[in-house]
Amino acid sequence: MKTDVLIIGGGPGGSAAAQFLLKEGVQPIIVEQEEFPRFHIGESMTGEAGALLRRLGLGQEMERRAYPVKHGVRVFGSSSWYIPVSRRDENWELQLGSTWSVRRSDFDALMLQEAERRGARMIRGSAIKPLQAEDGTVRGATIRKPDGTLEDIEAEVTLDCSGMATFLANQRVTGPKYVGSYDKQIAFFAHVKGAIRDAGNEGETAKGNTLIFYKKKYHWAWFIPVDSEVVSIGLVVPTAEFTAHKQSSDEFFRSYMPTINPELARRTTDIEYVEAVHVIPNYSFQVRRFCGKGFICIGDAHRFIDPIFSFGLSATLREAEFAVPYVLDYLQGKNREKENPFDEYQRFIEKGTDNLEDMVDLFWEQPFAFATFVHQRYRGELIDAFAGRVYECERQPSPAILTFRKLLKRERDYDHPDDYSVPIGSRYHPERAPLWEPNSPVGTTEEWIKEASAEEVA
Amino acid sequence: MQHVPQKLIDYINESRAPLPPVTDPDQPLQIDSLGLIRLVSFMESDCGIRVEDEELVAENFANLRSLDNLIATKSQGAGSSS
Repeated sequence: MKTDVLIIGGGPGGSAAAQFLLKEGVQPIIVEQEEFPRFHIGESMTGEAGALLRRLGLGQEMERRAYPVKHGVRVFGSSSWYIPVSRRDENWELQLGSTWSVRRSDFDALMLQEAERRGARMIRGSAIKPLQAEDGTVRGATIRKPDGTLEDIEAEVTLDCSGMATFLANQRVTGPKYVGSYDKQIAFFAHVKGAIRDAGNEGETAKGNTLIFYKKKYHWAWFIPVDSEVVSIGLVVPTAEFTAHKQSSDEFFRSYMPTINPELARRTTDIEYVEAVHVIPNYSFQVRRFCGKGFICIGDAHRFIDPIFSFGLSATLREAEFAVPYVLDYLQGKNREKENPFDEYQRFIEKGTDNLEDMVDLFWEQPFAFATFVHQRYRGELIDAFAGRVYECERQPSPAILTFRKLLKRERDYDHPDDYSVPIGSRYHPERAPLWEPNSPVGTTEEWIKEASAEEVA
Repeated sequence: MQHVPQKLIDYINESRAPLPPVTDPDQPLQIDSLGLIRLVSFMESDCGIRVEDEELVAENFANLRSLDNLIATKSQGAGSSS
């Protein structure tokens, strides 16, 4: 089978890419291995993610489904603050806005159905191997269908939207996959009923707002309404904290979560779990050279920093939209002679995501400075960043981001053709950088931790 | 504590209420972070001491001694209000 664009993964990145391609007259094939609806985490959207859905013509459907309307993010900790959802009008004036948080099983199914309804071809199956020309150009993928048969789907462009499965990185098509700065963290999450949310309809006390609670460095929780009854609650701590407790994930979540903050405890005294507790350890990573001849990795398929400010869904959706003009150019034969036909896109995305990383890092490294910037010095810039406006076309890096870098004693060097973004996580853990190199003798982060701690004992 | 203006010490003591006034330069100020943000505002607007972005680290506001060191580095340029 042949197609112009093969999309691996039918999550929001894949289905948004499909819808933006279809607007331009390109009919992609989407390969998805799971039967939707299926559980997924990452429920809170930024202002720009909401705006993107409206651009796709999905605003009314989002309203019809009555997803919780998010007016802002409230943070409770040693310093507490609120950042409203915002947009920029045609004169680049900041305007208050709203967006949504969603139950991902439902939202992802909506997005995929919409892609299909608009003309994308859906194939059930899992990508097992990329098809590659002799020079390494990706030419599609071999798919295993539910009945076990294999099929080659040839494509001019392959979009890897496989999420944390990082299909092309695992297949060594991309550059190495490095550990990220937050790879020693573990996230637990569950859906609950009976949690106390705010009662307002707008602003700081709107009932659909995303709440973040923190106790101390790297110990925090999220509180995200996903419908009128259910709230997604997450707990993120250093993995060492969890292992020291010698409890099951479930026991640990239930007993530790309320200790994060008295305000969280108050809101969760009488809750009923409607989903088992899920766990994702060592989630932080970054793939280098995530674009190349015939391929682009989108969203989690190339990078995941940390879930604290709910940037994941927003980043994936926006990367999908940004990628489409580059895909169209490539389909028209442009940039094919280049070593990396999507180099410009790759750099654009990397820079934007680096801005996010600087923001998350400053929050943990210098919380007092961060709070001062939120309250006084860079309020507008931070309102922009929390809305997901972190890309060059959105006047980034802003003076706020440049200040963050000074405080983090960090320089971002984009001058080298390939070395423009040495992963920050690898700077903190240079000894771990080779972990994901092709043919690394160490298979997983867990193995590495085991070996490293054995060395310490010896 | 020669560099910390008296009115800043007074402001700190008011912020700490009902805790007793600070007497020891190494005693933690025990002002919550919102209080610290207000303290920085006060330093800038009422004492003429500009606090740079890079100086907004909690260690600089831990006690009177660290605050004194911070203000001392600003030397003559900051305008004396003591």
